[in-house]
Amino acid sequence: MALLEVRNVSKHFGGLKAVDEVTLSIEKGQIYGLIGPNGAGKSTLFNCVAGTYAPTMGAIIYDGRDVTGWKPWDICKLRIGRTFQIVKPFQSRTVLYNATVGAFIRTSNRSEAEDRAMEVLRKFHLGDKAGVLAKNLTIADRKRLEMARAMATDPEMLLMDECMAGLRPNEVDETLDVLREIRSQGVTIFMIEHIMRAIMSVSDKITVIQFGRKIMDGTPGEVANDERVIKAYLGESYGAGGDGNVTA
Amino acid sequence: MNSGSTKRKTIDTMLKLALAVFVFTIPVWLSSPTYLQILIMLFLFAYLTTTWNLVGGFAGVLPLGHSAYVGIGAYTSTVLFISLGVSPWIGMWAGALIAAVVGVFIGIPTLKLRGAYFALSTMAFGEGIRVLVENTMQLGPFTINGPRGISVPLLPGNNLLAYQFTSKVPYYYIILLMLCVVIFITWWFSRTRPGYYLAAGGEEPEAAQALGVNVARYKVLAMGISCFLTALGGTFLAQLTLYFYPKQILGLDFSFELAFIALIGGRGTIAGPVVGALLLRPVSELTRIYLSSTLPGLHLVIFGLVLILVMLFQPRGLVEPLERAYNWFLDRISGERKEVKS
Ligand SMILES: Nc1ncnc2c1ncn2[C@@H]1O[C@H](COP(=O)(O)OP(=O)(O)OP(=O)(O)O)[C@@H](O)[C@H]1O
Ligand SMILES: [Mg+2]
Repeated sequence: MALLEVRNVSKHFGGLKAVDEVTLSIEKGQIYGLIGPNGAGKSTLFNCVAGTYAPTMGAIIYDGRDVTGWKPWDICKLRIGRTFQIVKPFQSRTVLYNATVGAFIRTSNRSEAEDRAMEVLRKFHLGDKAGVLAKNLTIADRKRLEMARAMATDPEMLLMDECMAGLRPNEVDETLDVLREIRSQGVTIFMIEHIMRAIMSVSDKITVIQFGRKIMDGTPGEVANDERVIKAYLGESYGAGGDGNVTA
Repeated sequence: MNSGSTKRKTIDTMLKLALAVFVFTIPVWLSSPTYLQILIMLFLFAYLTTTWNLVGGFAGVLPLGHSAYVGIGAYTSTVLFISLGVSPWIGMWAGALIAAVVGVFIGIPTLKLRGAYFALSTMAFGEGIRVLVENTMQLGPFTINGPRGISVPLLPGNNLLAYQFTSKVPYYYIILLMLCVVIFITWWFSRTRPGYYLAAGGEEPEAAQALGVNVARYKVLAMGISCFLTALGGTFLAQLTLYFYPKQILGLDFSFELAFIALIGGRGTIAGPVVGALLLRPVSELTRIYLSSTLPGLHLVIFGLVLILVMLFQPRGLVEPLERAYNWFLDRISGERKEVKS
């Protein structure tokens, strides 16, 4: 049985169909990619799953349970963690404080929560920055903190919205290693990513959307060679010089 | 970081101890009731701003109607004392409970609003309460007396049970103790899960929600606690002055003063309200003594100017630079290597 099922989900903003009848299904333990051009509706779909938006139509089924329209904090308690495309750290607080907020979901004891938070921070190479204020972090560290904080809630499924955007190639590789490690511990990962090299190398399966609609899904190999996908990214004319980092 | 030498720690503890001893022994050598009164009001404002700070600081919104809860405390305990002979020591808990219920009731719809709308609606509510009280002479069996206000019936001599003292000294210690207690509560609360959740939700609500925090619920909780404690300060004020009226105790400038003290001292910090009160109360007192007849409300104008300066140069309030200066001073006298903090 699938861990997460998105059934015919639509989200409209006024007349705009940001997500239009998307269906997909993610198995436990998978790394599942979601790609598509800018404005395709990827983040909006994430927000529907994470409870930020209630879908206009359709259903979200998690672990056999209909969780459509649940509030974000209840979704988090279901053990679905998420990161934001535009990172949202608690700026005036330390890195440890940020992660501890997440870790408090499992315990009300502060020192237990801090221990758990430290453990996760170390995994994301933030251990020695625990005392630094979040506002003083570099972009790469902010992205790491965003992931670490979500992981501190001890999720079974992690939704990652462009966690590698803006990272240098070696930082991307490092993040991919962390992802593989997280997955090996049984966490299912659902990720949006524009860096094709990254998402192609790590995903088991990928869904491609454009203008809110699903174009196709398949393995990275199938997706990379699909006419429709190439068109979606490069335009009907196969025009010269599309996005540099798009091709696999 | 300057966690460090035992010498530095000893000096730190000694200085803090000296300060505590100093504050607790002021009435021993300061006999002038006028100066004691000024200090009492300073501590009362530090107290009220600390309770305000639970919502205004940690929950990240700007309540501008907290005088309503001061008034609820003052009116409840006084009215119970006058009509039923209930000691204000008991009546103050009734006032606190009513304030908490009202605060939660007001908080549930308004705390969902964004910044300016919350500030405006609390302000409107505070003004609403004032107008309501000014137009109420009698509430069931209780005399409210409209705009003329109420006097607490004066009993002869010192009367502990009636919360009345002829000397300022008992009031000094009561409010000092109350201040210490709320500072402790704030410190303790900020280290618990609800405290983390409240601060997280105040700073980045969406992120906090994604981490499992029902942000609105924690803000409402904070509002309840804040209003409860604020009302206790209201009873104190009633017993101190033994006479109060709506314009004074339910006025907008009262609410504004709390916000000014917090913003200038350091919103969402534990020491901020005390620092702010130390700085602003003397200004209030001086303008009131010397200029109240010619330029009433001048203190708010001065606060506004100070606030602009503070926001320009120290947007997080004055506690931050003071803390830095104190740490620098400690480093110097403990002879420790000066380290540049990042
Ligand atoms: N809250 C909103 N209100 C109105 N329109 C919105 C809202 N959020 C997103 N949209 C619109 O919905 C469409 C899909 O946006 P979305 O952020 O989901 O795209 P995306 O695939 O994540 O793009 P990107 O790769 O740039 O992050 C866009 O046209 C966007 O302008
Ligand atoms: Mg997006």
